[in-house]
Amino acid sequence: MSRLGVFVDRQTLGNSEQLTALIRLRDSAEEMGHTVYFIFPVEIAKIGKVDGLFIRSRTDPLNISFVAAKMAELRGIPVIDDPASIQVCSDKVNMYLHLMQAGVRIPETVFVRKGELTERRARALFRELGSPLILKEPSTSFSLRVEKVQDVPGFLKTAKRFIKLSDWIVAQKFVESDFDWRVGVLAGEPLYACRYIIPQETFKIQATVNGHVVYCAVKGHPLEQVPGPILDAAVKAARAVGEGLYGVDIKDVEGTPYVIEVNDNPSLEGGEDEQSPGLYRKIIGHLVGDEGDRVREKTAPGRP
Amino acid sequence: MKGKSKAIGRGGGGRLLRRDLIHEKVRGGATYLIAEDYSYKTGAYYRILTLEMEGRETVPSTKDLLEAYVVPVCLARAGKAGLPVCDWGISDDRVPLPSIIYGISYFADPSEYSIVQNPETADNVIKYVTGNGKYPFCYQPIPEGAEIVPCAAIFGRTADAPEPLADLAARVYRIFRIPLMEIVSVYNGGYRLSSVTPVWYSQLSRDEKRILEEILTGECR
Repeated sequence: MSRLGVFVDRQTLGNSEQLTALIRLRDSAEEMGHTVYFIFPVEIAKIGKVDGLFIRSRTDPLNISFVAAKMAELRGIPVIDDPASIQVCSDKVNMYLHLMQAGVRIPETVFVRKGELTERRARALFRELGSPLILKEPSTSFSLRVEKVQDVPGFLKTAKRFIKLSDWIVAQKFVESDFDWRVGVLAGEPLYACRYIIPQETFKIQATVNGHVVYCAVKGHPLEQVPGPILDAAVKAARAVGEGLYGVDIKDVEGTPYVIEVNDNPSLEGGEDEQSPGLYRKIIGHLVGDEGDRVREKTAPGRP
Repeated sequence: MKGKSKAIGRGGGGRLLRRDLIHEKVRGGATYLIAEDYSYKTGAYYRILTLEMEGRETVPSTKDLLEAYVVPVCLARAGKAGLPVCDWGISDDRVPLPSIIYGISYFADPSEYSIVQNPETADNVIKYVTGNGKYPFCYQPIPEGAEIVPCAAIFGRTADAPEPLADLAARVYRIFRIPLMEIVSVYNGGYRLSSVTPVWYSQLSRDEKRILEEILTGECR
């Protein structure tokens, strides 16, 4: 039927879980009658030959995945992740600005600019956001360059490190939880859900503790059993960014959802599809047009 | 250009061309922002983003900036608009010689490029731009004897460029609308666009600074 391109790089294929996920994706596409082409960066010109492109390599506006997304967009080829989503989600300042504008509930957030890194400003931020607070360098992914700081000297030390990479950084109120909801949203509709169980040694989904990398556990969760306010928050947050595929991280604080992040290029290899077996078929259908699998038409009755 | 103008930055007065200043001029409903460095995640980039989030039309836009500074995207978009652009490819190890090489990664500097003429130089440059093989890069094969010509463009205007290059600069500005940029082109009987990069005030000639200052003070349309 159609040709689905999957844009991958060495890092994607160097990980056995990612490889397994790619094989499941390919099998689903072939069951649907499509042909799958894995496209590497050096073959970027082949993007013009596919009917839809699914990017499965780390995204950033400055790296090759953005080039791939843009090549597809310039040719009118449907692409996940689209360039605009990459631009918004890869930069936490941009992402939080979109969430704030859409009225999505997020932990209290302040942008700190180069030139504001003074003791006075740090004290004011602790008064405003409480202690500890979270500092984020805007290009963080997998919790890299996300730090919890307890006091003014800690704030200044971390902030000065981050400000070398970005003229604005993010300071955020610390919201504690044992787990984060991760809700996958495709074209503005919930696609899958899971819980990221935060390791006891850290407050992040991934961290280096005593020289060892600790990861969160991923527990798939049936979509229909996810609390309504969590799903509503996920959809509202995803729609604030765009119409692509997003993994929305949410903390539930005594029944009140706080959106922590909207991620483009969400992980699918950690067990996210455990309770959502049709996940790949829906993504493929969205990209290369299998009417029976289009999430938008299937889950949004009444939509024109 | 004429219009309401203000400068954002530490301190006031002093010379106009200070790297910490972002000049803003409102004209025809659009806000023009003039800064030395519009790179991703700089103060100028975030100032533009903030205005965009308020629904204001900005020149440049964050989208145009990102697309201009990522070389293959820049060439694909300019080529689609009909501009003469260099042939390009993506590699992670070898290139035809001679070639121009640009890094493509979070760590790549959009204003940095290398011209490689022989295998030894190519190996060293490729090791550097790929972070020892981690990232791909963009190469542009160039004809023997071709000349690499960088040229500052201020609202698409050049100070002393030959007419075909001045024309290329004006056309690049119409696509990306970056008030201050350097256009790197390859001349081999005609000019082909190689890249668009930031240009530092210190790199501008006296005539280029004069054009920019006239625009900032409203003496020039």
